[in-house]
Amino acid sequence: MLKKELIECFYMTVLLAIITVINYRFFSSLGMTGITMLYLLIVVAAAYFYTFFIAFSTAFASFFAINYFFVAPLYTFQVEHIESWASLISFLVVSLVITSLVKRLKSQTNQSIIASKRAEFARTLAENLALAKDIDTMLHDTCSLLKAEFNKPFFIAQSEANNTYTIPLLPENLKLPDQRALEWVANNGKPIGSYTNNWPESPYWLIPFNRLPSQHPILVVCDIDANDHMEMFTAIKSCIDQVSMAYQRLMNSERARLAELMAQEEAIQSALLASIAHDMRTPLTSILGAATTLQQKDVHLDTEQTAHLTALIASQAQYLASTTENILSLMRLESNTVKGIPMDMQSPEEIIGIVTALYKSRGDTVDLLATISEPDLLIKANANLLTQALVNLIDNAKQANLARSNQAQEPIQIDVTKTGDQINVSVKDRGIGFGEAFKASQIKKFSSGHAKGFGLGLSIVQAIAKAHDATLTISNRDGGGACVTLSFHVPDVDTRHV
Amino acid sequence: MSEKAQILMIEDDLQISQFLQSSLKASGYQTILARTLADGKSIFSEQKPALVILDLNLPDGDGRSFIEHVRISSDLPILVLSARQSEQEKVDCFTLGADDYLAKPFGVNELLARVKVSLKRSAMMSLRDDVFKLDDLEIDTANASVLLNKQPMHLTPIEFKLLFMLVKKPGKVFTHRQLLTEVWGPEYVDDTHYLRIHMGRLRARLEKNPAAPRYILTEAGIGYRLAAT
Repeated sequence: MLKKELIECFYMTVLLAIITVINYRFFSSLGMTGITMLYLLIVVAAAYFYTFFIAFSTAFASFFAINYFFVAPLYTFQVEHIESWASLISFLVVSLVITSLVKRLKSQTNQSIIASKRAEFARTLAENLALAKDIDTMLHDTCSLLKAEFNKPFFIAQSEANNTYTIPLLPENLKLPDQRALEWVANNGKPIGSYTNNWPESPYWLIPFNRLPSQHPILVVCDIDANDHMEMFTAIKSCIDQVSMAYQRLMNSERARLAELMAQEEAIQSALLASIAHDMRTPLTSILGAATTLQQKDVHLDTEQTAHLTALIASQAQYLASTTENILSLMRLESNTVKGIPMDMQSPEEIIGIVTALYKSRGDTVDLLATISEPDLLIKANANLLTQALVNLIDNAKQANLARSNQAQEPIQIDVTKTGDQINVSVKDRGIGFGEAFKASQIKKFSSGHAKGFGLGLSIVQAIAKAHDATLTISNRDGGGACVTLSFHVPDVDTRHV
Repeated sequence: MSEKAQILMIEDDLQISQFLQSSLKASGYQTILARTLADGKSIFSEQKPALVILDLNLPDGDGRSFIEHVRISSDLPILVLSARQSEQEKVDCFTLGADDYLAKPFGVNELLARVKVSLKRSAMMSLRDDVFKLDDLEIDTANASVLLNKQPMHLTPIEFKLLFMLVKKPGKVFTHRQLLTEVWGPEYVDDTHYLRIHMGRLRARLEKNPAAPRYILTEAGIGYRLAAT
């Protein structure tokens, strides 16, 4: 700062010297009035461009220069005639008055420029805040806008679960407020920094969003020094009032959204429970009925009847087991993030092998015809989930085929093909196919196409597809029947050592 | 010998242990029941059973510690039963040395088949037979030869290594990690795609229908095993 003032002093001294030389050279033609006017011009220039001190000094220097070079006796600071005194004093007074007026005018002009700039900024900020959809983006955009307007580093400190405040994207080389200061602001709802009564010597301003004690965010303005005026502080504070209102609005809408989501979730949960309770009763009734019949001592059953009842118990228990497995999978998928599901390379052929073995171990038969377009095809997936998706699709296909049992049974077809950057696994049956309105995007829990069952099957396949970033498409086959296709991305495989 | 084999069941659930006991007895096995881990350990050291059926969730601890305990001194077959389904838990059991794993609920036929396989393998191990025969497949580890329909098969060195590793204990599950470490080396433990591709090629050579394999069976998310019966 001092250096800047010294440079300005130097400029004025040079200007004063040039004017003095010109006046000296053209004294006879300019006359006393002309000389005085030229000196007055420099004083006005100093007052307009530089500080009050420089303008003042220029006025006094001009006064002494006139006296020394142009007032008799020349080259002394003495004054011979009383009228010369009058001229000199008048010059000094006029210079000082002009300096003061110019300074005031300049300051008023600056103030009005800043005021219009701030009004413009407030409008931009208000527009941004009105358009903001979520809190994080709103806070981030506000910081960027404030930074562009006030040319200072701005951050938002937000309170964590344990009531400590953190500043995201920690900046380097900046003196940041400590926890104690942030907590004080939160607990008192008052700002900290210069122009406040709290720690005015701090190198930052801490302005709370809420003027009452709260855990609301706090604005942190860094790099504050003596040149940062009160006007800036007041302007930032009024901006924060606007931001705080937008924050409240977004908080309220977020709360409302969460409440709505929870209500929806609860509705789904209770629908699921009702559905489970209803559908589990059917196989349980069969099991209980068959078992109690077998238990009755006075009822004599022949071998065939006994075999029929035991087979019924086994098949219904198997149905309950697979349904329970499906419900558990759905719950696991919904509570797990994609990252939480272990995945590695899977061979579709192997997965089909696992599915076949699974049916065999259940004592169930399934007529499958698998075609894999090229060897060594791999999918990045979780083996158990992929198996489950296929089992669900095959179960559906089986039921669909059985529903049209008057026709000759065709095997369920599983085709694995590669098209472009996709590996498609399709399960095809010869059932009645999907209704026109039924689309993959409309698969919802409990929307079963069959009388029996939870209708969870396709929902689970869809959830599994989602967990694998795969797509599920359904279509009807030429010649009748449904085709459900899971399309996976071709994985990035390093086959150097294969 | 397997028909008189003594089976130790470590299971705390009364219903399950009752139906297990009656099914096993009906199939000609002798059974001893332990309801806790501590009982199981003491019965194991006193009576030297031929096979252990182990529940993982026991009142006095995790069944996995029993597998560790047994493997210090014995190679007897351990069949794990568990209601928990996490892949990691299965992998842990196989890594610790379990021979087989059945998730609850299971059918009794499935259990009896697994018990039979484990006992047969155990008997084969004691005979130290170098030749494995199942249907049309014959693997002779001493002469390093593989015959299918009595015709010698030409396998690549990796395919040989994989098959010979599995034939060491037919019916026992080998985890991906174990196979990758043994065949490729410990630095390849995460490269499961090598395993998939080579197993696929091995199946293409040995199996009539690779999508419904007879010899090389896959345990989803865990590993592979050679069918024993």
